[in-house]
Amino acid sequence: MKKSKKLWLLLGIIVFINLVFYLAHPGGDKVLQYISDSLPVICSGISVYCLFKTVRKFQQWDFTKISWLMILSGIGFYFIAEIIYGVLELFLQVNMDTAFPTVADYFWAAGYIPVFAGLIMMFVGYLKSGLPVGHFKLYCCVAPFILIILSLVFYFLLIPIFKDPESSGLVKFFYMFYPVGDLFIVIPAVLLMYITHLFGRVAISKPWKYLAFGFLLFTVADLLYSYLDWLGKYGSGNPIDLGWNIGYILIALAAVYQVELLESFNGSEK
Amino acid sequence: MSTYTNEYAQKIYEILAPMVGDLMSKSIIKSNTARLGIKEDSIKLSNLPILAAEMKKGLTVFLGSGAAEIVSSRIANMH
Repeated sequence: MKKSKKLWLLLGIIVFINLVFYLAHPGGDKVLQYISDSLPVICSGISVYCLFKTVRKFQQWDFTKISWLMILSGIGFYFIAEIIYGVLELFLQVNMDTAFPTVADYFWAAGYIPVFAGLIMMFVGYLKSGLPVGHFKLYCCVAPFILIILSLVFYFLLIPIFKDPESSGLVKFFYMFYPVGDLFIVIPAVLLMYITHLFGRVAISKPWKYLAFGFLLFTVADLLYSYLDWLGKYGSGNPIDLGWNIGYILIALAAVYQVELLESFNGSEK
Repeated sequence: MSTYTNEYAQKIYEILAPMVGDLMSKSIIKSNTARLGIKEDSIKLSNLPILAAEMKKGLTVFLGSGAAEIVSSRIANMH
């Protein structure tokens, strides 16, 4: 069985486990907390492993390898953050509803920088390649849509958080950092998604397609998290965790598809 | 499946299409021949190394220099 098919199977199992525990709560709240904290560690770990294999597969140190290395570094930071979060909540019994930001948040925040750099490198590399970039009219149509989303995030999320008198400066910074960071990630991700759409259903564009889908899911989950957590309505077993878990596996799938693509050119390198 | 009257254009298309699809292959051939100041149906053997080098730039972004070089050399040495 191909590695990508195995990963699709794993994705199905993870979604199933997520849904069973989040909807039926077997074993009570304690078990739910263990599941809620351990699944992101497992999913991000799988993502890091697959991305590491991908980076190793590129033969030369060119911008393509470096852009994948950036994505690996970013997801690596997220993986460390997921571990810290799980350890704090499960083993050190820290109340994560009141303790914000934690050390984990510094790692999550740091992860945005290489992820953004990696996605931008891919997009700029594509622009420089001379390959078709699609219809200019479509970019003009999408731009107002992105502006509307930006305005909604600013109006409904950032401004209320900024004006909140009960939150300290550091808390405000992190609550605002995530949505702003996500917007920086989602723009190149949407552009990559559009580019891959131009290629149709071919192997060469699959890695970027899944990468873009993964980061889009992260953005949606992050925006919902920021809003719910700020309202004090986020807790273990929240369905939005599914967005992060699926996002990690989609990024892992992108990495596996990239490896399979490279192996199709060099069959001996397996 | 596209058919070119030019033998080299057709062969380049056959190399690219399974990887990047029909539309993108045609687009790559069109844009790179235009860059050389020639038409798709007037590609000569002597144009192949330059065309291959130009196409490598486009493929590197997805495949890295190593795999892009394999495709590029297939195009350059197709005769």
